[in-house]
Amino acid sequence: MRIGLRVEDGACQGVMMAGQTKVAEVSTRDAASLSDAAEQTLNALSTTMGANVGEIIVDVGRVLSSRPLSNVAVIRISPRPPADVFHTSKLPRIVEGIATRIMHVRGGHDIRAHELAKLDLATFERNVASLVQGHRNVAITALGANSTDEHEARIADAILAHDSDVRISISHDFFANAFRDRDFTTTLNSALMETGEYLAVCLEQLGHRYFPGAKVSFVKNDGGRASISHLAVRPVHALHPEPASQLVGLALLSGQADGEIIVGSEHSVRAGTTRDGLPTSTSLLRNVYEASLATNAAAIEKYTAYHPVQPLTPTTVVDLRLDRDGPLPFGLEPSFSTQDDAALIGCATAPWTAWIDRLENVASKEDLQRVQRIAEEDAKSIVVQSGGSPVLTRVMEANSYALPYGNPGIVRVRVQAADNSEPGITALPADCQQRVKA
Amino acid sequence: MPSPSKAIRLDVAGVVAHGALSTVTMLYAASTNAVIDGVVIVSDLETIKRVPPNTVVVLSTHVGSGGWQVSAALRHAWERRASAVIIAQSTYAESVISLAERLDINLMAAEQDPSIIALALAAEIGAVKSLAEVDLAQFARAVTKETTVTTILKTISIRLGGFRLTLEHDGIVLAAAGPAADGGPTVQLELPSAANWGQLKLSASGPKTTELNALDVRTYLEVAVPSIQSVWMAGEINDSAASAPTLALTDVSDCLQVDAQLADKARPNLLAKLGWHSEHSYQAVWIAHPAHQQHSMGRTAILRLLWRKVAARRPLAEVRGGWLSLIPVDESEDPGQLPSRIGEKVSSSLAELGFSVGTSMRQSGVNNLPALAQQARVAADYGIRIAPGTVTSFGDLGMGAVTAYMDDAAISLVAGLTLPALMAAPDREQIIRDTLAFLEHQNSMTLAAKALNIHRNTLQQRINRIRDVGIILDEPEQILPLHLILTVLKRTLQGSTTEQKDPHNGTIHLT
Amino acid sequence: MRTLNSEDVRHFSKGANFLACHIDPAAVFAYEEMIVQALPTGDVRLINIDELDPNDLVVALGFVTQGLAIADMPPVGDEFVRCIQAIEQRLGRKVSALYSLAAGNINGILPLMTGLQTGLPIVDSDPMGRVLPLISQTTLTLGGVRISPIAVTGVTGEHSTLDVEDPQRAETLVRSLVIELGGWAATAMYPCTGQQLAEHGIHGTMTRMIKIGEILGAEEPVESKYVQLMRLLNATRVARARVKHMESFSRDKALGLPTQTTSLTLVAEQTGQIIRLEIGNEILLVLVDGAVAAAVPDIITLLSADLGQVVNLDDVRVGQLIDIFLTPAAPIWYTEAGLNLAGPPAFGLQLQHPRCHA
Repeated sequence: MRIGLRVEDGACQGVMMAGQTKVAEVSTRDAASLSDAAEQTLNALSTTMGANVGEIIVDVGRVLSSRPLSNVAVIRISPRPPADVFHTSKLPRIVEGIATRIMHVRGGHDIRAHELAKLDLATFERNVASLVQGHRNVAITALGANSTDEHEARIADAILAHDSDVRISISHDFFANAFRDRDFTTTLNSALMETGEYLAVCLEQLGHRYFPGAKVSFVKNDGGRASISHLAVRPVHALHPEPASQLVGLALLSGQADGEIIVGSEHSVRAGTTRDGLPTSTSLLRNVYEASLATNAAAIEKYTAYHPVQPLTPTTVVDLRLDRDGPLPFGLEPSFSTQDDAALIGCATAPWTAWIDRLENVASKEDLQRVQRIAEEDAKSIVVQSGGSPVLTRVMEANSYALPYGNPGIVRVRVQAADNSEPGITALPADCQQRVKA
Repeated sequence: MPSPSKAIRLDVAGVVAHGALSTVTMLYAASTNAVIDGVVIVSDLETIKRVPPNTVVVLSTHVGSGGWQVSAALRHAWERRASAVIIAQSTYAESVISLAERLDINLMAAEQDPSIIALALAAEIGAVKSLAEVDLAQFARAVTKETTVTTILKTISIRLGGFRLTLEHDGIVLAAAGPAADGGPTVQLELPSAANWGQLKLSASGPKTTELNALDVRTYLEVAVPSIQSVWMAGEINDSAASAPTLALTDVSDCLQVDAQLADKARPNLLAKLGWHSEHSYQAVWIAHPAHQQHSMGRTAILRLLWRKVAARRPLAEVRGGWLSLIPVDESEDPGQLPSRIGEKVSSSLAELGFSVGTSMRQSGVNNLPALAQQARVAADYGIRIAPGTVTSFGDLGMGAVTAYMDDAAISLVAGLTLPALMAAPDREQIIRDTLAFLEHQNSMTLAAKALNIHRNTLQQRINRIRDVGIILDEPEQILPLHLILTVLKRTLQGSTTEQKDPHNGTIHLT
Repeated sequence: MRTLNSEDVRHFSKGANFLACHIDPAAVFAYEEMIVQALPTGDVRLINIDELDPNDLVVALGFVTQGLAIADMPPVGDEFVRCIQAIEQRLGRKVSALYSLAAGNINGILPLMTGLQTGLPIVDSDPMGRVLPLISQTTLTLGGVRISPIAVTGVTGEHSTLDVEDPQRAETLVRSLVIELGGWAATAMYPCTGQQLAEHGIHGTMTRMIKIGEILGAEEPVESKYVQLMRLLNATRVARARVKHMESFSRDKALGLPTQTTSLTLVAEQTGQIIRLEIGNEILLVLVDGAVAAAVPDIITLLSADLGQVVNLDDVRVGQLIDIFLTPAAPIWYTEAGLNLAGPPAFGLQLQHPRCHA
């Protein structure tokens, strides 16, 4: 059995699933703290049938979005510093104020991973003490980091040699073509690491206290899950999981694992698609004119009168409005409706997922096939290492791209692997199904 | 002399079922079973433009691996009435299948090298046909009996044992007969220049297997030339005389007023005298040439020869801006049949000339003949702008025609043709103003009423009036053309009320 | 002369995107933002070609990229200023005004920033009248105006000045230099007199981008915008069509490597025509039922049917309803010499341009 938990400061919602069936639901409000709320919820669920719980999956998106961000020292590595303020990479408003120190280090690579300028490590080492002073969080973004992490890693090592307690985030971990998107994502990730670290420790302890045999993980922006320890390192991937979880939950509840899901709520109508119960993803969360967040997240868009028609794709229209007196806009006829917290159910049933997104230099068709195969193997092995089934883990998406006017030998290889085993291995007898209120 | 017997002609269904094409994958099967007279392997698109009808076009691996070239090849093959197109097996064929379906032409994919398929098919065709001995005198008698250029070429082709015969003018095939040339001997003969239609070339290309030598072939051609010349001259004289009524009609048509006062009462009589019958239904065909092309008499002669492939008995009149023909059509016939017939027969030749064809809607009686001519002209002009060499039907186009135009006059003309009730309405200025207000305020009754400074209910009544005159407000596709038309009408009406133009200045010409 | 305000700059970038919807506009919008931020520090002055003295020295500015988006490696900011200095040094005289290498995308808008930095005015003219991929594909080449000296500066600050006669050869040399400079370089080229630019350039193209942006940005129904665009650009709407199929594979490349979308198949809403867009970096061809309706150098723009906004090729999705607009390029591109330099054969397509019946 699995538990899905949505934590907030002072509140927590939990659901217990046996396979695809909901067996218990708990909601805690007005607790003194996040850990109190989570503890009460887990306690209430444990009194039901705790022994069978094998997985606890936590949605921490609301906590990460609401807690204040930590201050970050931002290090940018490129051959030359910007000549004026206008050419300085601009961070979006939400992180602008927390980047309290921005520094430039000479270095950087081109897209082929050829060094453009020697890394000025000597100057950096001389000044490292004053540079990181007062900062526990550092974000490092280098030119060419999509192709190599060499300069970023050397700067990170220099910082850790000086102070091993500093939390460091490097842009090589986030794939985006634009420098400013990587800069933003690395900075935001760094600013979230403190909260991520706290949540990882706290939730793992609580989980083990009430469900000693259970594995604790968190749900990601793509609707899949990853081991809770990763939350301390890449919290940015846990920032916006709810839209994806909702699709996962609705796909499960409506029994349609492949197709389009159109969700009508009080405020809007949105649409996304799922394959094998997992949302199709985009690698960038766009934010109009500001920098985009480089995280794999469910591709969800506003439904309009000109919504693309795909005759061969089955469509589920879900009405999630509380007040369903009037019709849905655009003449949509609901084919399914539910009072369940679909996002929480989706969280509880999230499969292990992993992404490989990197540049490769290839010289032939065989080369391309080889790097694609390696990327697929890598993605699968991450899933299996997390706990996915070696037999049922499979590749959900595998693409390779080149840019217009691009360097013909360089391709971007992007792969998603997921564990396809049925959520919840132990099915429950029907008489055990009940509702619990905390 | 034995000639290829029609009874043992190959057809697509047969060779697919148990012949050389039994290993191919049928991507799209045309609704009618096409016969096969020849097969050709092509590695460039130009070759397809020259294949004879009933040829199986096999695209070499280079061309056939998906992509736009397959689309273009299908188009050319369809224009040449090819029996089928065979491409290399490709996982990307989905989009071309839709096109094959739209053009209704057989499309197949070969898993093995397409050239192997082509060779197997060629062998099968070769077994069906046979070469024969020829008697020159008998041949000369045979050609003099023929009355059209095409049938003369056919006779030559048959007598030469499967030669490809073409009559060309500047690379444009005016008439052709026989199967595709496959690299055998080619003999060309320049025709003595007549009138002012430029240099004509008669050529014959033989199959590789031919036993005839170049000298023999040339002899046959020389024997046939006088017949070709006399048949053509006779045709040209007849055509010029026959097109007189159509010419008279364009005089009428040029007087067409913007406000759709289509014809005065005297005209039906005039039209009837000219040979038009009020009990017939007509469809007009307009062939337009690009504005920058110089006009020349020679082109009319060429065009008339091409035109005979479409409607041998309906003359083509040379008029300002192009050529016009009015074709009586059967009420039971699908109006789309005419444009598709033209497309099949001549559009590849017209495309080479840069010409475009427009067809009008079908109407019975003679009252509307000038309007039909204008419809065809608008459609042809649309084709010139959007896709030269294509056949455009005004019926399909409707108001959409205006999206290709920039000049007010042309847009007003389309308005006259598509919104006659509006043009005739005494309150049209108000209707136009109301409609524009409604459109400009994104179909909001409240905002539009406010902008017009009238009550919402008043506007509601006026909207009903708008619908009465045939304006459709709820088809998204029509909104852009409608908007364009009304914007122009509003301006022209404002102009005409302030300047009080001479009514003759309101005449609209598309040129 | 016209001094641009921030609204003008915002419209300018919209127009620059409209005329090159095949290229990711991220860098255009980044430049728009940068210029708007910098406007309080100086003026962006746009001048008509006839405001120049016939002997004034003018120079074209543009990025040349090879395998890297500008956004991936943002410029430091002094690259173009250095290029202008190099040209002045080489020719021993001052540059009087700048002009854009292309009328669209990043090379359309970036001279505004350099104009602001240097105080030099921008001429309302360019040598392409659209965006073309090669530096040799200009009306100045057609007019016999020398492309060099060419000043090249990379993000590292390394720079070079090239003297080369043949524009095709210049293309080869600059490209290979650009690869080693990091993937893109700032360049200044086609230094010429005001009179040469007047005779061989395409004029009013900067203002045209602003006008396009004004139309696209207005709070008006889509159809009103279209009417105005068609009048302004002499454009036609080829069709309103729904995307049915997308292909992303390469055909003619020896390696058989993947590339970006290579073709789009759409079905016209009203007529059922099958429309195919052939793409190879540019939108090279539009086939309507297999017949060529448009080909380079025609400018093809995709607009969303619901909002009338530019749809960039990267954002096209199956099922989307799109209006396909055709804007004719400058007339000189349809002459025999123009088509040889920038028509279908220049892009490896052996076909006759639909608007050429030579």
